[in-house]
Amino acid sequence: MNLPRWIAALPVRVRSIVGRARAENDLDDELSFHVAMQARAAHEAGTSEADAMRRARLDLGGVLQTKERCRDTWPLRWAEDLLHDIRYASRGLRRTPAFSLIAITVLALGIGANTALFSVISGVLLRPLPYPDANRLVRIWSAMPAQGYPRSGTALPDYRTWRATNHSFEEMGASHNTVYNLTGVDPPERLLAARMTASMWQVLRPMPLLGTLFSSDAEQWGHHRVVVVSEGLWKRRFGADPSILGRTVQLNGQPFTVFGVLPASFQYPNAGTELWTPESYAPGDAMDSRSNRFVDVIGRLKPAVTVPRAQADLAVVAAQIRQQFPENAGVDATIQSWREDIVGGVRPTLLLLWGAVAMVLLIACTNVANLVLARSLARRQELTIRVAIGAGRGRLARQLLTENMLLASVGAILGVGLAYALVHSLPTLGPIGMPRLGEVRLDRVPLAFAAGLAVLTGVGFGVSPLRYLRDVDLANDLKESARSAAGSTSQSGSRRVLLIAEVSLSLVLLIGAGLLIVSLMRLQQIDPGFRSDHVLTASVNLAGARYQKHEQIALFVRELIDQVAMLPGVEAAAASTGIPLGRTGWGKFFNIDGRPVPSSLAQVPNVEYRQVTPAYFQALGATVSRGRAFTPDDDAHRPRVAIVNETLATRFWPNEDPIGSRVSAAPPESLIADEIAGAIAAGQLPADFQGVPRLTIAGIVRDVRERGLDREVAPTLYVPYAQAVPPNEDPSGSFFLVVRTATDPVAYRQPIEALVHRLDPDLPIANVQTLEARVAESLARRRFAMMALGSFAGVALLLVVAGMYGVMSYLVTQRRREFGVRIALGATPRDLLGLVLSQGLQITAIGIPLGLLTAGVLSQFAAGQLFEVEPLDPRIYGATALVMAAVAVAACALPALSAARLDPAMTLRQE
Amino acid sequence: MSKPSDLVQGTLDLLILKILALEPMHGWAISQRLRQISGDALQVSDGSLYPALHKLEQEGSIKAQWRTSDLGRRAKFYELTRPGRKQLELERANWERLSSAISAVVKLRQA
Repeated sequence: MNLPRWIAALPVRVRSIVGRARAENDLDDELSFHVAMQARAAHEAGTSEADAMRRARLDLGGVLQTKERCRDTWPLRWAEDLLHDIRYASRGLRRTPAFSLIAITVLALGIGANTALFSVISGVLLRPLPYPDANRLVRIWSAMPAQGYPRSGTALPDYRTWRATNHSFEEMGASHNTVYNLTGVDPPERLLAARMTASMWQVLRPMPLLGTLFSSDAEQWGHHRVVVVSEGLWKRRFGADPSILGRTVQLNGQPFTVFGVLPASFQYPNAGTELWTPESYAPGDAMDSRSNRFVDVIGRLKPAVTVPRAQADLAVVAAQIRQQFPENAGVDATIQSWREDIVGGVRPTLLLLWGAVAMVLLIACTNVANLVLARSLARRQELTIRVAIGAGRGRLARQLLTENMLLASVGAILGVGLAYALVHSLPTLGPIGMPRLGEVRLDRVPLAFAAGLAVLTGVGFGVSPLRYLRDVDLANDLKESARSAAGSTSQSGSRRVLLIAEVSLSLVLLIGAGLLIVSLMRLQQIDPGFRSDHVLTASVNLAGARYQKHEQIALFVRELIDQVAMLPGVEAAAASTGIPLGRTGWGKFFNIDGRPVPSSLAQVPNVEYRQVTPAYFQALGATVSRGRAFTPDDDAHRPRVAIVNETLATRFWPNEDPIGSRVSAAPPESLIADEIAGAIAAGQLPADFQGVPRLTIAGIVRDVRERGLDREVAPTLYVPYAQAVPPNEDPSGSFFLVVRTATDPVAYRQPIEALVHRLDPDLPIANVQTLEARVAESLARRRFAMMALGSFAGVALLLVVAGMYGVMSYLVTQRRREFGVRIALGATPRDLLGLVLSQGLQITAIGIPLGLLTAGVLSQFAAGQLFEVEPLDPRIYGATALVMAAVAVAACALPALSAARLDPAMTLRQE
Repeated sequence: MSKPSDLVQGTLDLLILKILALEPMHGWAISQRLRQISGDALQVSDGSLYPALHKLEQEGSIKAQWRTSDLGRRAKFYELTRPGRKQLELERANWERLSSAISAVVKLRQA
């Protein structure tokens, strides 16, 4: 029933909004008409004209107020009020530019830092992975917990069985990272690639830019020379030519047909991958057997299937495999959400930083709250007068709140600008050890966060002066002299409390930064087992027809190392299948002669295995602590030797000397009798195969921390490259070059590349990096956290100094008269100095213990981030407390000095 | 003089609508008419009358027209709209119900 009425009302409402000025005019006319009529009536009844006018106005109950109440019925009243309040607030802020600028800057810093960090958190932790329906994607690992591998790559036959017999997955795909040399072009290039099963396309569902993705037909050997290239490669080496489809490119010397081009946004398995080829092996190839576990498996869960359910499902499948295939003894399957797998490790660091930056915001707000309190005190008179002439306290409160919200909003806008700059400078900071950084953006969610912060902070520090409004005492406050009285004891009390909060929070940040700094220092003091200075590393991958025979590989490695060693200034040159922070691994079974044979394959220990040339330990700067290093004499014709690291030695020979023991990098023959028989029958092993060759341990090397400075060292077995020959071993075509130089290692990049090019023009060399750079990269995340927390602590300290200085100056001004009287009564400047300082020290004396306590509690949560530092390390706590005390005293110094220099005559005269 | 009875806002709306149902008039005339009819028992403060008029106008129950008055000034004349008439009927019915209910309670005899 209200509809027609509302429609009839439309013209009026629109006119009230659009023609506001006209409506004002009309209202004025209407009410003055009423007053005129009333006056005339009174005049006719006998009163004088003037009296009549006055009476009429009074009867109208205050024309102004009536106008207000009429306006209240007009639509969008709140908008008009808001605009009015905003204009009034901005005028007020412009009248005190110092206050406004400082407050806005402080808020911008706090909100900006928080928003920037939240963008990182949103992009890294919260946003789903960039694939359709990404929350159903899981990572599936093989697990051999008894052998010390809670997660390992998977064997292709296992993957196929999982895929065929599970009930929980819509689809599964397998892939592994590899490299191809782009040959037949100048210059040749080494490209990161991934071999994938065609089912992986169904799991990840990318949209090709051009062409198609290969199907499972391509997994058949003989049909497998197809490739999908990345947009980046297409543009870089093929000029974005659309006719690339169907053309062939040379990979490792073989022709591959290009099927399609994937957009730059598709970055599986990592951002540098530029080629995708099918997972395909010749029949009988050992890579496609259960003895080689190297593929990564990603699965897409069926809708409504949970990870635990899928886990149980796969456990059953794995058990079935174990029953059927004894070589899978001890092999299980384990699943984790893919996103969790990628970002889980970095979550603690990010949360720590977020807590810290939130504290900075708290300190900033406390600072601004102090400023606002001081300012509201100065405006006491103005507010009181307005209350006296009838301004509603609600309206005044709204105006004050608008003022503070305006401050917060401007601060937030500037803060968003700062956050934008910070987020965009992230890639230029160098490695900071965080995954998915490329996906961090300042978009809707962080912006909403910033807006929320603006509201929170505006309300947070805006409420403080409102409390004061309640206590306005008209009579007292209108008096001038009341200004200097301590009718503001409650005010100065609040300000001191705020300052105590600032001091304690800053101390917490200082302690946090201190803990992280000491952690990093301790980490860098750890003996890595090698010397990272003056070493250049690079990775080489021999592939293609020229390197099919093991003699070819061995020859190339020998020649390369010999020639690099002859370059002027090279102290040692070596090749190794694994170097510190090389992020590769090669595990093999381990067996010691003369020890009891384990009952099953699942009990056979696993160790890391490395093929190295003789100068390797020298090039690394690693120390052989017992026995001897490899020499060029350790070749294929001599007895086989091996060197173990101390971890391996103490684990397997706790009380004896391992030197001279005979070991093998394979399980005991009795456990793999069937496999051996099968290999003999297939001709892979000679008919008179006696057993796996034994290695004699010739030396022990001090642990090289390959996995990282803060990671455990794996037991490692080193063998000479020259002795890695069939029947049970092949020299690896993928190795690292390690070159120790007398001068700057970077200068050797060119000569080494030229050497490689001379030996094989089609062979690229990649990942040329100094060892120092590799080490620095591994510490990148810790360093980033330390620097971030350090800068937060620095900003907090600055805010505390500013806040302390402000409050102390204010307090001194407040007590000027009192000081004047004291001086007149005989106090010395030193007495006054002491008085002021003691006030400041009082604040510190409460703030510091509070801060120490808070830090003690909070640091328990961050204990995982620390390295060889106790969360409650007394030296750090003590040192930072001293720093804070010193800073506080310094901040009080100026106001205290100005108090000491007061001229009593001047202060007493001022009223 | 006895205090004029306080009027609830909704009742004021009813009175205004009823007065305007008879003929269009401006605000001052409405307040005079109110005083006249009720014999001064109903004294609506003019500070409440005008906001009420504006509210009714915004709601669409009454509409306004400017005419020149004999004073030489322009005056805002209000009149009922069609939906306004319906509104008046509704309000009047409500009032009847309410007042008869109150009368019934007040007339209760002691048992």
